[in-house]
Parts: sequence; structure tokens; C-alpha cells
Amino acid sequence: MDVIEKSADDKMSEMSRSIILEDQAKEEMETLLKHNVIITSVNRVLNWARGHSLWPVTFGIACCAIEMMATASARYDISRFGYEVFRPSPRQADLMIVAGPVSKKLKPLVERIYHQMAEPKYVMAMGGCAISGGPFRDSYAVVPGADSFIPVDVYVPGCPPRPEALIYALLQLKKKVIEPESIKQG
Amino acid sequence: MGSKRLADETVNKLLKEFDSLRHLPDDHITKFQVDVGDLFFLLESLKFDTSCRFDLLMDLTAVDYTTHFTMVYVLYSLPLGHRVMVKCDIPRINANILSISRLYAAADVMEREAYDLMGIDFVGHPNLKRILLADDFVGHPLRKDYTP
Amino acid sequence: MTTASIHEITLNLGPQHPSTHGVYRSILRLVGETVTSAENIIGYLHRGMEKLAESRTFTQFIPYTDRIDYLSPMICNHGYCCAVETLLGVEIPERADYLRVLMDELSRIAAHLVFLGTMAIDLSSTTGWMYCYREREKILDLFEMVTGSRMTVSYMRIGGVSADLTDEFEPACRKFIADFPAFIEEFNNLLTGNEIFLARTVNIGALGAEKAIAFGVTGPNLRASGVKFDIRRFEPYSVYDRFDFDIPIRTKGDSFDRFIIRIDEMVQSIRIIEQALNGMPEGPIMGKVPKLLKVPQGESYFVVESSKGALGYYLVSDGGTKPYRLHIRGPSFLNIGVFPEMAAGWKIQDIIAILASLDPVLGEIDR
Repeated sequence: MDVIEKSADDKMSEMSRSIILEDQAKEEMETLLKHNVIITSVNRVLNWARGHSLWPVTFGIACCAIEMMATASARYDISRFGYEVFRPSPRQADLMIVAGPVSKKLKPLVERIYHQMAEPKYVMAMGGCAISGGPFRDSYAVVPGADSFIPVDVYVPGCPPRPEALIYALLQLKKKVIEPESIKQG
Repeated sequence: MGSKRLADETVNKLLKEFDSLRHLPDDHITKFQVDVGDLFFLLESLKFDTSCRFDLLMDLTAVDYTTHFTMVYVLYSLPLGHRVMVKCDIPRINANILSISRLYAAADVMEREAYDLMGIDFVGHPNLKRILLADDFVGHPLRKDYTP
Repeated sequence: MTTASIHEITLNLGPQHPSTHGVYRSILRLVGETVTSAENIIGYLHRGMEKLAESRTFTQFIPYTDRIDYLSPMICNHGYCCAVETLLGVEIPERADYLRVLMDELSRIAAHLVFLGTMAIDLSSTTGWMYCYREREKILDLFEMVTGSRMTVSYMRIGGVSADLTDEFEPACRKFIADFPAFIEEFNNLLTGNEIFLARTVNIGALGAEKAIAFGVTGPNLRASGVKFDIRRFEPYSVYDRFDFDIPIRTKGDSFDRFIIRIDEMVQSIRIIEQALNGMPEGPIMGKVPKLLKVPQGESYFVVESSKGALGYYLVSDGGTKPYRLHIRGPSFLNIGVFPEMAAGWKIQDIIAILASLDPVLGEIDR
């Protein structure tokens, strides 16, 4: 690669400068790829595994919890997807399904359970109440949506959402876990 | 609704026994209005008198009529098959009334709820603290002048 | 010489717990594994329904009644609509009343199935839970045929019901009634005679009749303690006085009795459903109610027999379009009040069985 010499008075043209930078970048990328491609494929395998066995924490609040239980039961059977292992301890779970309205009294406990979960963790807001407060939005006692204090990955509308809707939401979450780049911002 | 009303002679007996007792007309339930001073003794009579025998406290609540609160007690008699509603007005400022938790154990939680949501002090209650709202909640939401 | 001392430890149960039936919390004091005292902490599902009622019209509040006891929503709709209709003085068409009773009893069976399933899984029988939910799906299919919704149905309206039965409903319902005894037998074979289940429920947590009445306990919990009190018989509402059914009673009041009595009640509900289908009259499903509903000034107290106990609605109207005050007497609110008394002296595994046998629903505890 020729290095164009700069005279004290001559200015380099923009085009020449960008060609130099591009070449430098390409060289750096090649070395990076040589060292890191192994981690990238391990990540992909891990994401695939995580997406196929999301373990929810047992945390049903109200009516949506009953539909969540129905989804885990004989007819709708989320065991087909690998998600039937509800863990009572948040340390062992990676998905929190907020199923019902979060009252102001309950809010600090929901936060605590969220923080007790280990990374990577995901949150699903199930039902109108968890998304925005639902029919109780103007109540003095209800927090207007779970995403006002914890980050939510998937929103499932409904009051309560049918088990099929919850399964669709879980599959969307699986897609998000396995191919994070498929969820684009804005 | 086919619930038995309190027998007329029992109503008259109670009216004679308590000065401030009034029998209010209602198509569906025997309804009484009484003053605070007679309330506890009236409820005692309703529970233990052999022609009343109201052993089940079905409900205990309060209504905010902006000028005053009205306490509402609904009693059922399982052995005799009748029911009654007793109402009692109390002032809104420093609202307080005698607790009936010694008389009916069910009143324990119901009075705590009325205290929590309406701010009525139940004198003599063993454990009067908030039950539905968080302990640090400010105000009593079911009052008509509550602002969040 | 060493001295040993026994310390009481404080343990928190819930509100995030697989066996607390929702966001119920209890602070237990334990000596070893024996519970010396239990304190109820509720209110984690308090949504302020009674205050919301004051800013909704009478009809707009009907969907909120579904969310009070979300396991038997039809019964909650029914009680509220009757409380308003008492003040309104409107006559309900006969067919609407029969439909209401039919849906109430289906709802009662659905709620009892959840009770059986959750009590089974709390005592480690996952298969019991699957069997019960499988049956419950059939009832939810029936609800969906008529109302379009599985759980939060908002089926009843002030003056009647919102929709009539479809053609597919009656054959499906009759098939459900015909298949139900086989399910009861299958479930009894699985769980009711199981040695481990019996060891965990028989003579555990006996509740005496006097204490139950004093604490305001109603419903199957009271009837399991030997007290024959059922609102459908005490003060029949709707058309319940036309149906022939028994009120099951048990005498010991232990957790097993509270379990068995609900199986017996389901069998009785099947009888009522069959009679309702056979005797269903033709006619309109809504009474004459104005579009803009203004309820005359007054107050009413209406009680219905929910799957958990006596569900009461105290409604005060000031003559406008919205309630002035609505108070909901949730049966589980009183039922759970006796739990601390019942829990003292038992081991932790026993109090889980006791809590499950009381069948609390947090929606009507906290409202």
C-alpha cells in the first residue's frame, strides 16, 4: 500500500484519506474475525438453547395467571416448546410473565423478583393490566403498566389473552432470543 | 328474593327496648336506624336474643354521604332464617365508633378494611392497621373528598 | 455443661409462591417445622374496584365483576345485576333466569375443578391438575359458544343476559353432562383414595361450626363443618326454587371434608344443569330496560351463592347513571380470616393443605 506523502502546504484530498482509513479498517476486521468467530458461533448455539427452553418463574397475579396455567395444561401444552418448567425460585428462571395488574403495594416485590433473576432474563407483560393498567388504569391502587419500572420484552394484549396468544408471544420471544438482530429499533 | 323478615313482635320488642331505634321501610330487608350510643347493645341483643339469634355477621361497611358517614351492618340468622340491616350515622370529623370485634370475630377484618379505605377509627379493635393498602399509603381513598 | 435453646424463626410465605393461590402472603413463626402463628398479609391485588364503581355507569361495571372471582365469573355477574335490578324493579324474562342459573352452575363446576386441580398439585399430584384442567376446557368451550369469551365473560346484563344459546350449545352441554360421572370416577380412583393424599388431608385443620360462623365463613368451607347454609336454599334467588338438588354436608370440617364436599357439589350442579336444559322456556332474553340507565335512589343488599361462599353486593344509588357506593362482600375475604386460627399448631406441609382446602381467590379478597 502506497502511503501518499503529505507536503506541508498540500492538503490531501478527502477521497485519498478515506481510502487509507478503509484499508486500515479492513485489516483490523480480518484479525478480529480470526480471533472472535469462535465466540460468535458459541453465542448462537447458546441463544438457540435458551430460546428452546425458557423457564418461567411462577408468578401469576390475577385472572391472566389462570390462562397462563391453562396454557401449561393438557390442551394447550407449552411443554411442546420446552417452556413448561415453571421454577418457583427466580434464581433458576429466565422469564418473568407479569400476568395481571401490578398494584402499588406489589410493585417493589415485582422489582425484587426481577432483580433476583440471573442474566439473560426476559419479561413478558401479559394482559392489558400488565401492559398499561388495563381497565384499572385510573385506579388509585394500580401501577399503569409493568414497563414503567422494569424493561419488558414482549407485550401480549388481551383481557385475558387466549392461550394461543400466549403461545404466539412465547414464540415471538423465542425469535427475539435466537435472532436478536431480527428485532430492529425504530 | 325470598328471605324471611324479622317477625313483627320482635321488631316491636326491640323498638321498645332502644329509644333511638327506628324501623325504616324497605321492600327487601328489615332495616333499622340507630344512634351510636345504642348500637353496641342493639347488636348484642340481636345476637343473643332468642327471637333474633343473628349469629352471622354477613357484612360491615360504611358510606360517605359528604355530611356524615353511615355505618352499615348486615346480619343473618342461620337457625331462624331471617336477616336484618342496621344503619348508624357518625360524624365525618374524627370518625370513630365502638368496634364489634369482641361480638363477631368476622368484624376484625371488615373493620380494618373500613379503617383502611374510609378512615373510621374503631375503638377497642385489637389490631387496627391497614389491610388492603400499603402501610405508607396516605389518605383514605373511598372518601368522597379523596384526591390521589 | 452446654445449654440448648429453642428459637422461633420467622418465615415469609408468598406473595410469590407456587402454592399461595395468587399474591397471598403469610408471615409464619415456626418452632422447628411447627407453625406457632400465621399472620395474613393481603392487599397485593387491591385494584380499587369499589372506588372505580363510582366512576363507571351501572352497565360499564359489569366487566369488572368478572374480575372479582375470575374462576366463577358468571356468578359474580349475576349478583351484581340482581342488586341493580332490585332497585330498578325490572322484571327478568323467565328464559333469561334459566340461562343465568345454567351458566351459574357451569361456572361453579369450572371453579371447583380449579380447586381440585390446585389442591392436587399443591399436594404434589400433577396428574390430578391435568385431569381437572382438561375437564375445565370443555366448560370454557361451552362458554365460548355462547359468550365468545372463555373466562371473563361479562355475560349478564341488567335486565337479562346478553346472548342466547347457539345451536351447538345444547348437544355439547348434554355430552358434557353425560361424560362427567366418568371423570369423577377417574379422579376418585386417582386421588381420593390415595394413601398419601389421605394422610395429608384427613383430620388436618379441622374447623368447628361455631368458630366458622363467628368468623363469617360461608360456602363449602362452612358446609364441610356441618352447617347447612346455602344462599340458594336460605333465600332462593332467580329461579333456584324450581330446581331439585341436595345441599351436601360433611361433619368433621377437616381438609379432606372440604375437598370431598366440592366433588359432591359438582354432582349436584350437574343435576341443576340437566333440569335447566330440560325445562328451558322459550321467550326473550332481556327485560325492558331503558338505553340510558338511571337507577332510582335507594339501596339494596343482594347475596348470591358463589363457589367460595356468600357473595354480597351492597349498592347505593343516588338516582343517577353511576353507583353512589358499591361494596362487594367477597367470601374469600372472610374465609381467609380464619386461616391464622386454623394454621396454629400444624406443620408447614399441613398448612399448605389447609390453605388449599380453603380455596381462596385473591380477586375477591383484595378487590
